[in-house]
Amino acid sequence: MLTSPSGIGGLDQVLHGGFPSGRTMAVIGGPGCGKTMLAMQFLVNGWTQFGEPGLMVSFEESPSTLAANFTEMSFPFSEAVGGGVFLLDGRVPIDTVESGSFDLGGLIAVVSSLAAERGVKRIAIDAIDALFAFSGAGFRRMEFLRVLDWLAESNLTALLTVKGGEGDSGVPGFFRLAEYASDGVLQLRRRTIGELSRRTLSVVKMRGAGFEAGEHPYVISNEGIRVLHTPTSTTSLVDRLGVRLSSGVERLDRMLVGGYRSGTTTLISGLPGTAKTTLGAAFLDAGCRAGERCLFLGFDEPAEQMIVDVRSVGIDLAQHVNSGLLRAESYAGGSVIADDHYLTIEALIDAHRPNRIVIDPISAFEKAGGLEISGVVAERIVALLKSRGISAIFTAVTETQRGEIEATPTRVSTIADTWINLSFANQGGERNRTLTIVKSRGTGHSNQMREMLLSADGIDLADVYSSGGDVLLGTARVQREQQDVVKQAVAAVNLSHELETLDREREELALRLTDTKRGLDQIAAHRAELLERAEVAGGTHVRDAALIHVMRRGDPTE
Amino acid sequence: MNASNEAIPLLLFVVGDAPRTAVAVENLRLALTEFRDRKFQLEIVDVFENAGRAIADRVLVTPTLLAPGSSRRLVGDLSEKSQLRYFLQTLDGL
Repeated sequence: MLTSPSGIGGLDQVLHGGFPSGRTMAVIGGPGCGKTMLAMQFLVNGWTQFGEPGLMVSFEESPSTLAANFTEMSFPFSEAVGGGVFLLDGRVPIDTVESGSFDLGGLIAVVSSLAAERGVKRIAIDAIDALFAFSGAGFRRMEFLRVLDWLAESNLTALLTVKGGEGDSGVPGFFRLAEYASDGVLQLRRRTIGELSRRTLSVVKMRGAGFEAGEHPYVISNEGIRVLHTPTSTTSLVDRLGVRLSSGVERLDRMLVGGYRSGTTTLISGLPGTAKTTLGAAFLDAGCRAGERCLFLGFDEPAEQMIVDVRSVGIDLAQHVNSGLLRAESYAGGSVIADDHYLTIEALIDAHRPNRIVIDPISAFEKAGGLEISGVVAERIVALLKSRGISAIFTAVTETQRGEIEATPTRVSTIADTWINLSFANQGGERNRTLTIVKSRGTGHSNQMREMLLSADGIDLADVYSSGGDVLLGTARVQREQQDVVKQAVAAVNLSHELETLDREREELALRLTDTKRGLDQIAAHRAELLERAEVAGGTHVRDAALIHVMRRGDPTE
Repeated sequence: MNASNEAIPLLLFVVGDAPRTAVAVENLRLALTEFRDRKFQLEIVDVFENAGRAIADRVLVTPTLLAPGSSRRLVGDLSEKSQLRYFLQTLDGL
């Protein structure tokens, strides 16, 4: 089926392309749901993006009121109204008195004439129930059907907004009529959670065309309506999973067998003050150094403050902001619903196209509409990031220290691919930071707890000493290290002592060797002298001692 | 008031030759004959042929009777005679 795209972010995906062309769709919702907004965006985008002239028939608000309401919006209302979108005042004049029966022939005649004259392709009929408020049920039904019949024959793509649904603030029963008489029904809902409003829309009915079922959250801002639509395709991700990204901390990269996996989400949880943000900043710093585009989203403190803070541990993010690689934004978390955060993030991603993103902290979403919603929104964000192949770090503040595993209420810990928990260890009157990799999907990782050290040179991780089953941190670790140094020094002293002893023995032996040699030389000299004397005395040529010896043996002295 | 010789203009917006159009025109014609001392100048506008005038006068419901210059208007086939008579009488005050 041919569709007419609304140009409203997310809605066209929910509608599998847009509103069905040439058909009539009822948009039903209570006050404040944004029915008129939706209809207006359909027309304005229709003209400015798709070149289709449109007509707005407004039964409740005058064209000047509409103009006042919409000129401040960021979508090009004025341009459209000056061009191909026409506003028709359908309000019944105040001094109107009924005299006998009447019909909507005039409306249909006027609209047909305008549509033909201006080549109108899209029409929105806003709050037609207002027209019927003052007349009987029989008239209402007949004339409404007359309008629908005409729309059906007209080939116009039509939106018909009707008050109703929960609470049914409009003409009683009217929206039921709209529901069954139109080709499709888009139901808008608004409910209040705490002090926040949450809006969702769902396609209740759609003749002959597909759509995505279920409740889709949407928000209204000065950009108009945006619908949360989470992409499901992750095909681009698979071949990138083997790529490793540096965490910015060399020792942590080694613990993770090379770093975070590209395109995955890492959760860094921990109590306040455990340096979650710092670890996130290191990740961004490493990314920017590698020439990647990075995005920081802070919900706790202003981004500028974060940049100043991490400078104290030797991380200079300001240079990356200046080079344009890093975009750092911060938002006050309290006043908006988590759905808004999603759309903010989506818009920033579309604008900046980052490879890496840090959301600090994702737990801020819990303030934005409660656990149920924040959990769903967090899941949607993860899906969004995966579909774009963006590597992410979410930080999460845990409230209490409950042993090693601290589940995050937003359930991000189950969605995240890698989970690093930061904590404090209280020992010997000190609090020292610790880091543990709780899980890391699809990759080996160290199971050891490390002590995290922050200094002006950056972040480092230190081995923790095991002492009788306890891990040693901070001063205790340093003391243990010093004890080891002493032991080594003692051992060195012993060794050099042994060496000295050996050397002494060797010298002694060498001296004795010299004496012995000297003795041998004296003996040799003395012997040579004796041999000479023997030759002279006996006339006998005695050559050497061996011969004398043989000669002596030759005597029969035995 | 004595504006006797000036004809009071009336506009009746209708759509085509629908039965309701014929009923309205006939009801109005009969009512006007009751005013012997007043002159009216009736113009019947077919919205199908002249949508621009209907838009200008914000007429979307037919039939609609209005008097240019007055904010009051009657919608319907004018079969409620008392409403129609009152409407025409009070136009004297123009």
